[in-house]
Amino acid sequence: MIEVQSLSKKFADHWVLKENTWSVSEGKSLGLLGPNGAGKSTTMKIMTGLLCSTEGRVLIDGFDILKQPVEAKKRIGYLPETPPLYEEIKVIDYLRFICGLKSVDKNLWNNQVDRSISKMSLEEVAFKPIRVLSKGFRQRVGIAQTMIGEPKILVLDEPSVGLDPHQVYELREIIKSLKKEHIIVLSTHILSEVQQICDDVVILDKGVVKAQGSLEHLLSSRRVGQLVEIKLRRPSEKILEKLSSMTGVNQVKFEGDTLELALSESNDEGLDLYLNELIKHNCGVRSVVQKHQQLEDIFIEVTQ
Amino acid sequence: MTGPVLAIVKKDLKSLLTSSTFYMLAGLCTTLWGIFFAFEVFAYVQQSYQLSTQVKESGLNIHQNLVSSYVVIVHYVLIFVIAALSVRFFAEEKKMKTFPILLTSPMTSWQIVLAKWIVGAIFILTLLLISSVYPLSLLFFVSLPLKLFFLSYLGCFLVLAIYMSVALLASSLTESLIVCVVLTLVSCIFLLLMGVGKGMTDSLFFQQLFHFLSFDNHFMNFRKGLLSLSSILYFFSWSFMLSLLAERVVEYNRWR
Repeated sequence: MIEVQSLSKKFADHWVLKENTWSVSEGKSLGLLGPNGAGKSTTMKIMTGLLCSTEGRVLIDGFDILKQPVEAKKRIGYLPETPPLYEEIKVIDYLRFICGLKSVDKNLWNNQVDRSISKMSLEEVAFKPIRVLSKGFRQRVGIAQTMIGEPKILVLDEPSVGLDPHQVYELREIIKSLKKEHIIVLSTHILSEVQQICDDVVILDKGVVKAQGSLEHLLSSRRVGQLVEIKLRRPSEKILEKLSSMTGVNQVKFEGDTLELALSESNDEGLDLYLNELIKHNCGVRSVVQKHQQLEDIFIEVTQ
Repeated sequence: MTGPVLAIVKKDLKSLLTSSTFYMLAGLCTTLWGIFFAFEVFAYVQQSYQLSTQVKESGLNIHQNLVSSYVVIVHYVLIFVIAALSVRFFAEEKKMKTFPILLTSPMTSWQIVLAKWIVGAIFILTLLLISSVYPLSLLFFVSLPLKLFFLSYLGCFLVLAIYMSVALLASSLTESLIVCVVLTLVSCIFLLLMGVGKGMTDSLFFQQLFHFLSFDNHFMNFRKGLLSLSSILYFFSWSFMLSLLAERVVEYNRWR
């Protein structure tokens, strides 16, 4: 379990994090979101003991990262934005080196290295020096090292940055598979990635937590109604007036041949009525699309 | 050695031994020492011959007049090697963005500094061993006072251990490889010349202070065959103090 309590960080005289409080419980995964400079990487650096907080504290499984760093760090696997890889050594030697760094029992080295290699599908490059690897494989080696020592928590700072769409997809599937065994804290700019991987979300802006909670709760609590897009063959101004006067309709507007209906609540029966009106007025309905609020909408709303 | 320390030592030594830098440095040092040793032997033989023609027997001491001055040269050359090696301690880790893996591993800053120090010590010991081949080859022709020889090399290693701690400190301060080399070199030369201050003051107190602080003075004790506790403590104190500063700088990086 991770507990971030009133976490603040000051660089020179500039606060990059202010009074952040959130937590992640067992079996959950958390997405840290925010625009550039929001404080995501700083938060991760403090969580992993790379930086010290100015105020507040981070508890990793009950261990304070500042006061009991060795115990806390045993429970964390960290992938920084740039994977910390030694170019000249082979992948397998690198992972064995990490076993040593994390004081893994020597009898378990082979087991843990093999497991990391197979989880990350690194078999074909295991005996190659890291310098010859592609960006995608480097990122996988970076994640493989986080798994050594079987830490409870994996902290991944923008793992898919710089990868091509195919590699992003592969990496996402790998991270999803890791969810079963680890608590994952993920920072990314790809909001769909968070929607697919994470259970909880923290949205940061200028060092302040702007929104937090479970993804489901966040999406439902901010849903103010239903948005329906109807494409028409023969749009007319008359129908605009008619629909505006009907109950349950908050707003009606035309965008070219597309009618946008903002309804006060999700109501399929109401929608039938509005569609009937359109048919009566011979507008020629071509398509009806119900738009759901996305994480992107919330992200833009809270960080504006 | 604990797990993480041993892991860093093994990894760093392996990457050092598989890099061309090590072999280039070892080759260069061996060549330089060979040349200087040949000069020393030539000068010794010449002086010895001149003395023998004047007083009918050579009064030269092979240790003082040949081996001891050769060890001083070995130590001068290794200052430059340590400066070159300094980048490998922390500056390169910072530049290659691998430092976070050490700082976020379950180990203390002390263990990181200790591991790097051990790597440097093994490297320097290896080069000292190579350098000892020249004076030891004299054993084929003359008898050498081996106790004095080993004490001279011990003194040399202890002085170099201080320079290595200087290199650790310089490396922890910067991620620029050039700045790191220059900083190490300038600091080592400053420490080397510390004894010069003795001749620049009339105050007896300061003369004694500079005399005590002088690396050369303590190093000379070893070269003369004097194994004094104060000299050993002197070298260990310097090394420990500089390593402590390096550890503080590594730790300070987290607090910035």
